[in-house]
Amino acid sequence: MLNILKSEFFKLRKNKTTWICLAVLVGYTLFDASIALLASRFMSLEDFGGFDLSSMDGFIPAPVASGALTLFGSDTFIAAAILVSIVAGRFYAGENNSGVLRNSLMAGQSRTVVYSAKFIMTLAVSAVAYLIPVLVCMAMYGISGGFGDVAPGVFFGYMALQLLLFLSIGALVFLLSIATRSVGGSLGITIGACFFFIILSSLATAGLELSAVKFVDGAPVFGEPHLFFKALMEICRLLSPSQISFVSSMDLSPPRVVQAVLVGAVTLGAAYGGGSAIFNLRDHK
Amino acid sequence: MNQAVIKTTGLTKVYGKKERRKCAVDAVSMTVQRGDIYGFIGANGAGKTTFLRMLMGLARPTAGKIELFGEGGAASLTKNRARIGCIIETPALILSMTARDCLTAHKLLIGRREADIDGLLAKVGLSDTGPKKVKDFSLGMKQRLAIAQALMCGPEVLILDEPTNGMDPAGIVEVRNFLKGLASSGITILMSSHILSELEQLATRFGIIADGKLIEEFSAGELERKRVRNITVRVYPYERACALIAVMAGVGGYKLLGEGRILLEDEADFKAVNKLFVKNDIDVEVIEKEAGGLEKYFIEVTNHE
Repeated sequence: MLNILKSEFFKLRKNKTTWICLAVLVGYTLFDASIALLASRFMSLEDFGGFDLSSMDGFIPAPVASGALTLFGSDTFIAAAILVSIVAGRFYAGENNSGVLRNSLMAGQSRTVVYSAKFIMTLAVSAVAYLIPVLVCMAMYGISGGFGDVAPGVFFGYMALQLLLFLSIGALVFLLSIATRSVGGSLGITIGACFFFIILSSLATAGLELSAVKFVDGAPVFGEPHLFFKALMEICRLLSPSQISFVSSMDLSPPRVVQAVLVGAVTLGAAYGGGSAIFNLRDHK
Repeated sequence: MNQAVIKTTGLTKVYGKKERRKCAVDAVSMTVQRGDIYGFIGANGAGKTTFLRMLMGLARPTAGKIELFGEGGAASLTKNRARIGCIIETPALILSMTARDCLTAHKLLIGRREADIDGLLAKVGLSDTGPKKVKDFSLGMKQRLAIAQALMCGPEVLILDEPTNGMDPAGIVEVRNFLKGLASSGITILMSSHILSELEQLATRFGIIADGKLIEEFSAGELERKRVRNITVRVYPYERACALIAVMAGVGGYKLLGEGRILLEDEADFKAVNKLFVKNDIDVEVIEKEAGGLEKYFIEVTNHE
């Protein structure tokens, strides 16, 4: 196992795509975090009213910081998921298509060991892809005035949960590359899935709000939302990729934490098991 | 003492189901003994590569048994595959790397710290490729790099699927001599090739596969006895010679080629025919002896089948 990991790491290090993906991710994170910071600062002044910045410490005043973190969350991680898909796609689909996978399969290791090593590499790439935005974000916030009122415990707790969920997304991406045997195919499905979850979450949110409003004599009255949209929102909450944006809301109440851990762990396990079964049963090129 | 390093019993691979069912390898029972250079011969799509892929664990057999170094069973096969160097179909190389990096990645993979990358590159004549990427290599260079990669594990057996594919004549001769050297150092070689004349010069045993079935296995000595030998004679006057041979008893096959030439399909007939011609004042001007090689035998056997 260790030999395969060493070899995979060497190949990853020597591959230009890895470094391009890394550079793109850092660049995008810098851009995204800057926009989030500026938006938080100016929106809080004009639209969300009411923070008197002159009476607060730091470039990012306390109430604004948490808003920035939330804003920063989802789209950067979608970009990270896409880049994971490109890099992880090579671990199986790319190698299978070029025939390089044969070297691993004929090196005296069982298929399960080969699969597990590639799965671990995918998780490692996912972790790096997750940590880069987080670290860049922390560095920017640190330089520009601190973390506001976000307690370190809450911040790291929420980051740990997001990391688990992001790993589960990495595992799903790897499963896709095994199922489709195509880097392009798995990338396409990953991008499609990201948009699907965004649309699904937006639909659920809009539906919940709109169906809860009834007009009585021309005046809006808020009641119970429609059951369908409640169910849709619950599905969104339970889907692994959607969990990230739900966790972003900084809700670290025990039920939310348990739900996120369960969803993350179950997704990871299912993706590992499913991928392993396909990998073991299939003929390789 | 002979030891079977590769042994298959009734090895079968079926693709698809019901009406799309295709039997790529049909109950192949083959034995490769230690020290053999086994030439595996078959037309495109005959099942050679599928058979080799099953041996190396890339494809799962539908039925049958594989033994490597006398051991069957999944765990033993996995372990023993590490003792085999292998090139199946296209060379399994990372195209974006240099030759050295490619071998380094493989060295890490097989965990062979003592592997001498410089020595291997020199052995296959790729020492001076420097920063050149594998994707910019010629097919022959890629094949040689793949051979170096296959040799890195210090294999007891080499499995080579079309190893001289895409090589220039000088490269082919180089690889042939190289493989001969490996074989003389005790490495068993199982190789398939379309260039049968090449295989004929190298192999000590042969197996012919057609439509997934192993039709025949024979040694180089047996091939020598199986050779089809033709003799072509140029005679004068041609018409009289034709008339004589037509009525001559006991002559096997012959063909009248025109322009004074007659082909005797069995060299054993030559003596009697020559005697007949001399006796009847027919001049035998030219005698050409042609020994049909492996290629001819392969075509004969596979057409027959």
